[in-house]
Amino acid sequence: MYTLRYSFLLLILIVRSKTFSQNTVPQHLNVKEKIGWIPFDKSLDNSNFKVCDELNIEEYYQVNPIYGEGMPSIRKYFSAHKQLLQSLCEKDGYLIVRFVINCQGQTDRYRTKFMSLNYSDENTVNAELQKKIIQLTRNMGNWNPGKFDGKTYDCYQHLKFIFKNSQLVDVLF
Amino acid sequence: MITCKVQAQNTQTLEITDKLLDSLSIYPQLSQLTIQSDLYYQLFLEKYPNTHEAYMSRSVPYNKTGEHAIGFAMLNRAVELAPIENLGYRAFVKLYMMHDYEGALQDGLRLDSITSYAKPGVWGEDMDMVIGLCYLQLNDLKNARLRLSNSINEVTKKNGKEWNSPRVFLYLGITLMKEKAYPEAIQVLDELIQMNPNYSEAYYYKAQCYSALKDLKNAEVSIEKCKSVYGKYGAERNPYFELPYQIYPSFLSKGL
Repeated sequence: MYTLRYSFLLLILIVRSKTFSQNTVPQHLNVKEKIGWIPFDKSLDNSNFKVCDELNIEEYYQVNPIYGEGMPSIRKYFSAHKQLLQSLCEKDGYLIVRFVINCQGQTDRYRTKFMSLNYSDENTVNAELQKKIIQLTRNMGNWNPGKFDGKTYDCYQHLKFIFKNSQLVDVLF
Repeated sequence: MITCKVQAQNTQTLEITDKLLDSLSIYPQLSQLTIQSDLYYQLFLEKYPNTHEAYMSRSVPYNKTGEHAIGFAMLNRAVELAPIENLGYRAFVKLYMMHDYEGALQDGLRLDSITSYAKPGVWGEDMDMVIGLCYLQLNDLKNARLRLSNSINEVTKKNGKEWNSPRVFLYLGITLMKEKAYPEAIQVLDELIQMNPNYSEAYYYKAQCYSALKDLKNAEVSIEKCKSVYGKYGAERNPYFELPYQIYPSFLSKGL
């Protein structure tokens, strides 16, 4: 009897710990509000943009969406706009754009942040550059949506642009 | 007395009390992305303000979701409180997630100095490998070679050659390639292939070395082998970030 009871408890513990300890699979949190949540804002966002499951927008590292073949395709796209971006750079630092890729690979709900190279929040700096990055990211076209176990998911993705000496030196995720 | 009820949409109410905070130890059994988890750490830090584990744990979802200004503010506090425990993780985040090679190197070297050369791991990776990779990315090839070689020698001496990460051989091979020491680079990459014949990156960079030596026949053999291995096994990937010197299909179709 005790063996059965303890086996059952052990099973519950294993299932529970696997649910949240495995961070690189969809977590099905069934909640909109989480760290990094981007609420719909009708003044910024496309009202025709639909997600498949508003309560379960996963993170990129859980479902691995991909643009082209990945970072080489993303770098190639932005390299064509490098001069323009550099001309808009008022201060060096990291410009981060975060957005949603829906289960069909369409994107929207872009938000940007800017921080200095020593990681302090300077979000009011480089306003024009932030607008341009959103415009260019919007114009990238569709991504291959995030997938796990054959199912497509909505997910959050972000890209980071590093500016040093007013030069765009790297793009990463 | 801390008492707080939080309820996110479609989730059960979680009452955060002193009793709950104490009973959960320092790690809540919640997804790190949830508001409840974040609130838990916030309340925990109000009660126990010098708990470096809570600052570090609270930083993780922020850094994973691109909220780095918040994430680093917390992680920096964790480092202030307990540098030995947190410098390695901060170095790891700076290196792989921010491409801040100078920052990662400073953290790595500081950790190395304050641990009396005991070489604790850097978030699961060998310290000398991480420091060597920072030097490589900063194009300080001499120091990169010294650290990466040291990593291989020490791990091999302590635990055996098979306990080295394949990537330390890859980074050493690339360092030697950048130093134009092509035969030595090929030798290191061959060691990697001997240990792991399905490691497609090794064949790719070996082909680059042969190409630099104008040995086009061997370059072609290596790139064909790379294509074959890549087709079957792909290349190493990390879901959180692009690995240094990661290879892609388009690399294999380009001429050498």
